[in-house]
Amino acid sequence: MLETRNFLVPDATFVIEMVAFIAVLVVMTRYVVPRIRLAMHQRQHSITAALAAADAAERRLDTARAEAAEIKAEARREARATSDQARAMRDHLIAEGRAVGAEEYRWLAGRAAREMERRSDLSSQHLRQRARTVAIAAAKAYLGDDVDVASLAHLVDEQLDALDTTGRHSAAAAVQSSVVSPPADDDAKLATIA
Amino acid sequence: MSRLGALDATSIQADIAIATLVVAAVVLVFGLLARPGSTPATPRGIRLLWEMTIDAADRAAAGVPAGVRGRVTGTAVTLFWFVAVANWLHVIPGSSLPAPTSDINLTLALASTAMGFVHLTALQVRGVRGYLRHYLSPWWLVPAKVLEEVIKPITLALRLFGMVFASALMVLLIGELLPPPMAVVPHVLWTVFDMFIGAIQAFIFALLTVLYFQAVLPRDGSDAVAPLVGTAVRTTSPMVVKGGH
Repeated sequence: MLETRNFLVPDATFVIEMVAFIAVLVVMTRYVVPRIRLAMHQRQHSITAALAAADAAERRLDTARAEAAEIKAEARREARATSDQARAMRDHLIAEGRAVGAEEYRWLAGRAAREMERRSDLSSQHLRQRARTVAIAAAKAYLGDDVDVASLAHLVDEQLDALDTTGRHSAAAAVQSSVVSPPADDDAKLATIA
Repeated sequence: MSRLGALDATSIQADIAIATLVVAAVVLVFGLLARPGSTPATPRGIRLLWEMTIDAADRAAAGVPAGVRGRVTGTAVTLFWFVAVANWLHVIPGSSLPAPTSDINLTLALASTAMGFVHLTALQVRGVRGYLRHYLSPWWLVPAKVLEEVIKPITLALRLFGMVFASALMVLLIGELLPPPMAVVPHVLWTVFDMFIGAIQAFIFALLTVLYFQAVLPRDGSDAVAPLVGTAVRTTSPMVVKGGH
């Protein structure tokens, strides 16, 4: 072929090839490339939109995280304040209960002391009466009816008064000490109750 | 009918013509297979190859007006695949067809069509007056500009033809000079290199065409013209924007 034609000179094949290429070019530029470009363009848009949505979601997440941290800190502050308040109220209630308990204890102790004194008086009078009766009966039994009942009774009363005075002093001292300072275990009981 | 040094308008090289038609069919089939309706949304395979090519062409055509960018991209992509397939046709195992680009007819046809398309687009974008003004100013450069425009398709055609023709000659030389057992390795090596050169030449052909488009079209992106052979996509591609347009 190289001997029969100049390979640098075109022939009629040129026309066929040009027509074939133009046909391909028309089909490609009309039906293939624009559609692929459009699909690429749409995909690029959707990717851009998805990226923007992801960015927005990330920003929202950051905001939500900041809000959550703020809410958590606020809740911590409130919890601390509530705890402090509860602690203060507890201390106040303990002190108040302790004061009330002490007051009640004093009242009960006073009443008990008064009751003890009343009963002691009653017992004392009863004992005096019995002692007087026994003493008079004994004197009458030994001395006969000549016994001066009044003098005897007075003598018995004097002795009993002396005994009574000694006993009352010691009892009063005991009551006084117990009323002024309640026992330590009572304090512990009050604290437990509070 | 063959005559040395004269245009023979009657003889047809059947093998080259058939090879060209095969190339056209292959490009058409692969192009139609790559369309969005024929492939899944996620690009892979043929579609991915086409999208890579279109993206590269879009980037290369970033300087042309947005209204004709689709046309320029389409032309460049078509040229690339047509030339690439034509260059690779003779290395396909079992193929007895020659590379049609090893014949001056196809390279000249491609270059003429591409340059004709370039000037047609320039006329459409600039108008006749603008087109002529582009070439007539300054007046003393008119001969050089005319010569340049004549030389452009010739160099485009001869560059491709020369490379592929030389490659075909190399294959013949390897087969002739070396005994068959020794020719296998050089032949395989040269075939791989030939495929690489074929892709490079296709890329150069398409890139030069885009540059020729850019040379005759205004840089202003506001020129919007009606598509000549169908450019449905008029909007500026974000990838082109990203490319610095």
